[in-house]
Amino acid sequence: MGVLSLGLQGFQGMVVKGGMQLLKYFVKRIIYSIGVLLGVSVLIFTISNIVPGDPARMALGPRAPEWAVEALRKQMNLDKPLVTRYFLWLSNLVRGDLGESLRSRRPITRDIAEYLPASLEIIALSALFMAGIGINLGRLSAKYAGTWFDGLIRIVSYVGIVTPAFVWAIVFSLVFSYLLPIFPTIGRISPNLTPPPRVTGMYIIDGLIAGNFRVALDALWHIILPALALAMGGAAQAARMTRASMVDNADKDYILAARAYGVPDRLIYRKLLLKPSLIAPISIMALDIAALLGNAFLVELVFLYPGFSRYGVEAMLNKDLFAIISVVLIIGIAYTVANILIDMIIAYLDPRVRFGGSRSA
Amino acid sequence: MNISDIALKIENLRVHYKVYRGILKVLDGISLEVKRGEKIGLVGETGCGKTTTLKTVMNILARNAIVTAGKIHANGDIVLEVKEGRVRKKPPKGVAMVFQDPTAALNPVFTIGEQLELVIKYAANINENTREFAINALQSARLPDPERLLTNFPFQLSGGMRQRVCIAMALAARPSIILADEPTTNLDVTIQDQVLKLIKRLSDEQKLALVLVTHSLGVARETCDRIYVMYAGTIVEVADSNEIFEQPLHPYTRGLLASLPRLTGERMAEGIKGRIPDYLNPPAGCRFAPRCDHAFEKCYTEKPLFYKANDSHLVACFLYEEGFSGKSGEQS
Amino acid sequence: MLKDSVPRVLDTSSAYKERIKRGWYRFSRSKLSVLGLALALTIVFIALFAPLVAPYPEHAGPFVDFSNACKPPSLTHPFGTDAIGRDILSRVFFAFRGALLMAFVVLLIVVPVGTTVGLIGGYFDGLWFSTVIMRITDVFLAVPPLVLALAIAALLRPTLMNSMIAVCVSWWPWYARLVYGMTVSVKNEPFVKAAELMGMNRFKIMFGEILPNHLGPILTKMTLDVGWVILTGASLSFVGLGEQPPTPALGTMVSDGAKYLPTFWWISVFPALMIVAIILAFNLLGDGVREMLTSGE
Repeated sequence: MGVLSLGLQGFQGMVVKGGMQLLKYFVKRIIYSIGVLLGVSVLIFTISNIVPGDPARMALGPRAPEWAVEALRKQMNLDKPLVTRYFLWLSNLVRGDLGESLRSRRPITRDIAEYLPASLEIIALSALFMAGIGINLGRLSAKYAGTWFDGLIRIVSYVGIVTPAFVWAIVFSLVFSYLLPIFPTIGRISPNLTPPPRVTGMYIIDGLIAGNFRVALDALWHIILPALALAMGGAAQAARMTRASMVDNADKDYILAARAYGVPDRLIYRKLLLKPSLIAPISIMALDIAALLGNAFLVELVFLYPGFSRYGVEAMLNKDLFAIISVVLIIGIAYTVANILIDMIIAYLDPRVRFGGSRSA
Repeated sequence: MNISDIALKIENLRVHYKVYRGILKVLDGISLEVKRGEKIGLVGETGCGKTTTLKTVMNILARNAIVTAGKIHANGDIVLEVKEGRVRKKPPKGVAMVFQDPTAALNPVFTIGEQLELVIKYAANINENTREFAINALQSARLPDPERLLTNFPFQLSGGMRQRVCIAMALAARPSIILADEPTTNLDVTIQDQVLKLIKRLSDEQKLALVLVTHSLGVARETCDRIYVMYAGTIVEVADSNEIFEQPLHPYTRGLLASLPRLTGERMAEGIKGRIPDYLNPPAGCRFAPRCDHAFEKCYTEKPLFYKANDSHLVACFLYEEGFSGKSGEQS
Repeated sequence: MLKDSVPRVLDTSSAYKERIKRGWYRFSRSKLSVLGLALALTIVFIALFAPLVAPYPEHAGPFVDFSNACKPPSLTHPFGTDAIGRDILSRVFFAFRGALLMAFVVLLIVVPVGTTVGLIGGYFDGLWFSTVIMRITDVFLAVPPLVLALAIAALLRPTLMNSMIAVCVSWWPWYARLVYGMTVSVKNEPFVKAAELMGMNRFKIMFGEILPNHLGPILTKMTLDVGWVILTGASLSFVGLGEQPPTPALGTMVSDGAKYLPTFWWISVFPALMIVAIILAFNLLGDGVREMLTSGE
């Protein structure tokens, strides 16, 4: 992919060129983000605890005896004031203990270890789809601007933007699973296979590590449709913005100058015009990707995929307090980390940012 | 005329732009020629088509531009020819262009070195020792510390330095013709002077043909040997620089000179009344006629040809059709 | 007077009518925008007059008719019937009501609140309470809006009102950030400085001078947001939050129907398509609004 070719050597170059200033900037951001995340934890802790209803009672059900509910209440520290509970939770957090899920009766960390990698696999593939499909379609659209091809891509991108991910999920499962049985619609791997020995928790990677290509491929097959459904919106946005950016920049003097100096068209489109035009679409795409962990649940529900987002939703519906807090926190962390990563990419693409500060796009 | 003497020759160039409202008939028969080592100024107000002319030579016109007539020779090659309604174009060799806004002319996300390399590779066709060549080009443009410049990005440089970099890029293409489109308009006055002197010196040293587009007659006089005065897509007068100032013949040229403010003398600067014509429906005759104080019937219906005041001084105005009777009139 | 030099939308002279005419001209130049407007108006109309327009209005309530269950789309039931025999088209019409009500209420609350926060934060940028406000906004922004709305709605009892509250809480910071950015970039402009020098009341400056210049992006975002708020609402009702049965809600209809894929596909697909239609309508409309307000004067 043309995008990747702008790749790694440039990245190294960026680190060398940007140097100290860049590092200081990112360290500052990371520290700030930790503060924000603490704020998030306070927010969600407060919300989940001032809400009506008795969590202990809800966890055990209406028929549990009162003494059991009392015991659980004590265990969950519900009798102590809010602030104390927060700091108890926080001190547990630093020791790596997120509490116990009221539903699964397991430490939440175990739940997360099981479900998070599953979602990460989908998100990674989704991000690849978004960038690969979106930017390349946008690039082609710009190159053939004004032709029927361009018009077609523009219509398709518009459809992509206005159609929510779960609608795509339903459409894909109808078309590619029932009409044309190519892809499976349920779960992570086929029921007759066993998951590979756990290294990262991601079946595809673990399968490859274990040399079990059949399982790895099967797992990959299972995530293609959900990843694609999640990617459509972002890909469409990316296509539109890439096209708009490239068309705008194509009239700029520096492109005219390149043409005047005889630089071949294909080099212009692949490199000279593409790089400055990527700043806008990548910013937008990045926000979409960053939100994927939280927004994936709709697609996970349609495909019955045991992912983190789905786990989170079920925790919320069951008022599983500690699980809710942990899920929201992790989603917040993922969102923030993604944003920082995106800023690093933007810094690579746009040297003005490297020496100046925040995203200008 | 020895063909090899003439670096650039434009014959009867007509260029139209297709827009939503219709067709803008911008260039209406532009002809000019530049010898090797000669510096000519192309002077006219904004919107008269100077940039279009340059872009046509460089083959970087916008997509909605149509060349309807004309022939362009550059360095002995026919770069553009319109025969029987069909346009034959070839990318010109040995021609480099310097743009008006140096900030817009440099790609913001690539280093100076990377951009220079592209020029060297594709315009000058040099594949070895490109770095040295680049440093040489930067030095010719009088830029300090060229090695560090190679790793800089455009935004790290001042406006004047950026323009010098653009000039260096033009030089790196090993041109025999340089087209400069108002290269100093966007710069501070003090820098303007330096850049113009640089361009002039380079042209002298390397025997480069120079077409300097500007809206200032003063700038053209300082730097150029000959001046073409352009109005609304037509050449109205051409003469040696000094002669344009001493004996301006065309009413437009006189108007331009009259509008130059003076440090001494009682007269105030005067503008020229009216506005440039609407290119959708340009005047059928002389395009300056609607604004001309001396226009008569013929001016509105027929296009004037070039009349010779002397070997090097031509003017496109019916006032001089009968000949020249010392009609220099009021000296400016 | 200085005030006249600032572009204003809330003029009361005939220049105002002139601007409306010009704005409409710019808007109507794009056929897509006009289409969006037509679609949006149709949806609003349907929502308002659902009891009159729906062919089987009683199906939107507690109605059961198993003999007519799971019938495919036909002339009598253009969208087919669902698992307990209700006409899907009528239920969709009624579902529009909840959706549009949510969009209306949420935006009505969120836009003023968010804008005010953004104005204050931006205008007093650098002062301690501006920093505090914007940090708080950042905390809310660290979580994707759907997740936050989901968490809140799930913790409250599932009603339409509660899901509206949830969406409000998670939506306001986006306006705050938008307005903050615009205010900060403008607060050192001459016209603001001049107003300060004249001794104008600071609130008047914020709401009278700075805000009118920002109305364009705010209105555009509002229009686009109608679609996105409704989508968020549908996502909430997809998992059972928001309006409860038997009141129809678009998300609920999609998730209920998902069990019957692929045989009785229409039970899920048509409500899903209607969600798309709503988002499409307000996106087209929003694009048109943006064109109209930013094509320059």
